[in-house]
Amino acid sequence: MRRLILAGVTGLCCWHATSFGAIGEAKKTLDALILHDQVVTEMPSVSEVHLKNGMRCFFIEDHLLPLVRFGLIFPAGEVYDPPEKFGLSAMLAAMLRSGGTRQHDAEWIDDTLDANAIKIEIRIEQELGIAGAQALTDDLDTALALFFELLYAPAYQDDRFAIMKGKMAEGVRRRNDQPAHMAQRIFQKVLYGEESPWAATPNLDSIDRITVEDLRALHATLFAPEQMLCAVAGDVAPASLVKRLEALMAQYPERPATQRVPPAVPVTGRPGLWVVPKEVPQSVITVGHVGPVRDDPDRYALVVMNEILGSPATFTSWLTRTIRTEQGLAYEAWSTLKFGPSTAPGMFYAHSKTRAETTAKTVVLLHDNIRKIHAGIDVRADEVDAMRSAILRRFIFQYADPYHLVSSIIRSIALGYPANYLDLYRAGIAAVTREDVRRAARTALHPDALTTVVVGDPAHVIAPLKALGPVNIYPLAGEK
Amino acid sequence: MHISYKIMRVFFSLIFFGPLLCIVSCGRSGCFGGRGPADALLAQVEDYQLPNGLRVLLLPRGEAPVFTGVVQVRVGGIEEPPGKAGLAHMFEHMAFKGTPEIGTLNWEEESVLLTEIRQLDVQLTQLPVEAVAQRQALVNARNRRFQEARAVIASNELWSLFHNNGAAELNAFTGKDLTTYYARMPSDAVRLWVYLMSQMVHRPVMREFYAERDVVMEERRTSVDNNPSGQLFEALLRTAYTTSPYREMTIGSMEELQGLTMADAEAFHATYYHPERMVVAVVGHFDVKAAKTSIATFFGAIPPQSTPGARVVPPGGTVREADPPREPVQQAERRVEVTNDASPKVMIAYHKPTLPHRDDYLFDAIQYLLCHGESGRLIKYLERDRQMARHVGCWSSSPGSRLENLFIISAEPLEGHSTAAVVAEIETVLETFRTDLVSRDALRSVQKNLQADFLWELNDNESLAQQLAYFQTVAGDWRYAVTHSQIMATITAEELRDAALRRLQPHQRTIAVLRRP
Repeated sequence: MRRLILAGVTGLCCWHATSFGAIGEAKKTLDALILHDQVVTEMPSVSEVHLKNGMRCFFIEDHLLPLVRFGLIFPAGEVYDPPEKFGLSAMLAAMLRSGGTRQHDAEWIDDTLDANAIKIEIRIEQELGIAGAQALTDDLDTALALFFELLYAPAYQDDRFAIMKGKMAEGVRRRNDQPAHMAQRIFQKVLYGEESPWAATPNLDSIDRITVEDLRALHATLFAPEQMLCAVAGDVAPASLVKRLEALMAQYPERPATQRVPPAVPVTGRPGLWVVPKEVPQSVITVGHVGPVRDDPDRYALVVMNEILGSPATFTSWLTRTIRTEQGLAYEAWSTLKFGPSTAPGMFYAHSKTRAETTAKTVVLLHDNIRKIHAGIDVRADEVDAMRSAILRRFIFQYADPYHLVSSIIRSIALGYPANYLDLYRAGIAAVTREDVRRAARTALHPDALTTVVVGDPAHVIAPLKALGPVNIYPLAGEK
Repeated sequence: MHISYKIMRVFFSLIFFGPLLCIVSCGRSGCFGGRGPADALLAQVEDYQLPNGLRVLLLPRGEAPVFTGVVQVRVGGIEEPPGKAGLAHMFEHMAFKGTPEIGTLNWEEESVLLTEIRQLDVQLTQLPVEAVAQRQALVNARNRRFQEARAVIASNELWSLFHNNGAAELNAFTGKDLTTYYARMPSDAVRLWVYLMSQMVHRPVMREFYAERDVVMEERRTSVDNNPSGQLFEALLRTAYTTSPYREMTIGSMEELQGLTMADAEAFHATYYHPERMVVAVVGHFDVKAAKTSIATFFGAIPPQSTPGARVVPPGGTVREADPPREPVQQAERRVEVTNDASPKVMIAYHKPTLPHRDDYLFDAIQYLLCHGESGRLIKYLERDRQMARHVGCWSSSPGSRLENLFIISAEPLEGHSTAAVVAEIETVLETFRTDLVSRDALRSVQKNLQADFLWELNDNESLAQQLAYFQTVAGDWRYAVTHSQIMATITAEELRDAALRRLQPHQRTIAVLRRP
């Protein structure tokens, strides 16, 4: 081993010596390779078709490989779950996928899908329902037939319902096993309040109360074709698929459209410092507040702002530089923006993980960076230019994968953006100036009203954190 | 023997260190040889070697003006000297710190300071541990140089060059077998990609080493010390192996990380970052001619140098270094317990050979049969028939594929069921594997899914580039992707039963249990 170290040192000396004279040359090489232009491309040809039943579909044909991906977005959302039965939407999604249908036993469906290498996924997020299937072209008909059968003719088999309840309850029992998972859940609870549908998580009682009747009732309000959007990419011609989709969906009774308005959230948040006790060597820190809405006029400026402050896309962000690179305090240091609907602002938060002893120091650095970008003096014009151009240059990746493109089109529409949202986004980013970034940070960030949640070892983190302000202990045992 | 890149992509982490957490389902590499679309695509692969021994795989395809470029180096935890576990990964972090041109404001000044830091390090390694005061003085002196160097470095300039020029993803990962650097970029950046990546592996400067070592220790805290599953996996490896380099996780132990020095990283680079260990794979829409010229200029400038002890690998042969310690045959069941404030979990490991041994293919099939989708036998039996566990999973080649590896089964018992009961029921299923023959339908399903998985992986530039590089590095030939499935098509039910009889017996297993204190 000794020999290896010496060899390394000598080796290094040598190439230092030889590389010296070449530096000027290398700099020239590098300068010649730097790019300044936006990547110009024509958007792949997306065809939009309104089905006879009202469903709106976006297609990209791609015959390179014998594969097809298919996705649906339908109005639904966890935020609409009744508080006493929270978990209802998640349970319905799981039971649609694995509870069998009126035509076929659940076991038969699982075996058939696996034997044919067909993947079907159904889930309900906070604000949207998403269902998708992927298959080899030869198996597309089988995949689609089973897909719509699962959506429209569920059987809610008792045996599967019991299994699903058991698994979901186990998830609740295991929710405090990993500090990172705790941090995510509890930050939202502190921010929005325990009772808010925007922070709710299933608990043992709410899972226990859910009945098959509840699933049926919720199901009856979903899947009206005129409220659904579909995205298809791959080895299939739109015209033929449209016919097949229309025929498949027509087999099932018509369904009424249901209007939903996302529940409002109080915009005040709960500023302060919380410690969630967990004896771990590394603390998980989340700092932020209730954040922007999707129609915020400063939306694009905020995206550029976050690229400067803490976007995970780069190590040159302020958070990574000050917390990770310069001080070695953390492996992760980043920030993000979640844009909410107009009735319910989303979130802005910054995140890091550091050992118990450096927890307070890292909290201070997170706060300082947020304060600094809010003040705006350190936001340099060249930095804004570089970040804006980075976002624009990598924007091509929005168009690069056909399924990614069509599925992001329908997602944008479902969230209330126009169908040409990607174009608007690019133009919006391109127009952002340093002044915009500074104004957006000044308006949207609230460094004096930050909620800070630390999952960490109380014996080591509480005392140093007290120097920053009063510390609340999160009542973990009292959580439902 | 295959990496699931879909899972990898969700990680933002600069690296991922262990097969358990991120490389999953090693085994389903396959494609079906002789079938049209995959063959037509792979026929386009341009495969050549530079005079210095570096292998190049280029695959122009698609219309979108983007590409993924991968540089893979056949060096990982296996190559670390004793007492230096974690060095391969530590070096990978350092490769992002720049070169004599990139990342500095004044190389002349900086290089003097780096030399001083290196000398202080050497002095430090010569001092006994008991010389506390002297050691501290040296560390303080080193920290002062480090602070002075700060004034003349341009932190993360390399990242800026990638990011500002449109990298949608820049990342790297280190395993026991290999180290991979990659980026997704717009097509017009292909020459820039070649230049930057070549400089990272050829002329890295170990600036900011000690701050980065702290970062790596935080990474270990996140993935192991704060993570009950990480601790369980670490305990499993240390119990299942006694002498193999696979005994330690890639991330290394806290004690050994603490002892890593700049000189260690420099030595590691000098010893192993040689062109004959490197594969460059580029897939997507790019100017092939320009890429080839740049690759010849910049990767071609890396001097050829044979790694001591390395063998020239015959085409299609297994890449294996001289003589890593061989793991003695396990004679009796082993057990280990990890206590943590977390719900119970169990992992069971069985030793098996790696490719090109026929058993490696058989275990790829066994993994499918036991744990695939909703219909895998273990999933069906434990999660539904017995309703006693969740998250039942199998890994067919952990923690790597260059050495003899492990087949691993893991499960989380539901409340009211003990880990012992879960282990007993897993054994019940394995017992049927050792006695009964798998049905023809089940074998057909394995082959169908292998084909589908392979096609889905071809569908994406990144996973395809990673696959080509991976098979070239570990199997010695990227065409392994094709031959794997041809061999898989010849597997019989009798062979599977025989493999289970030979390798999945209770006395051959290592059981690791996570429980509350």
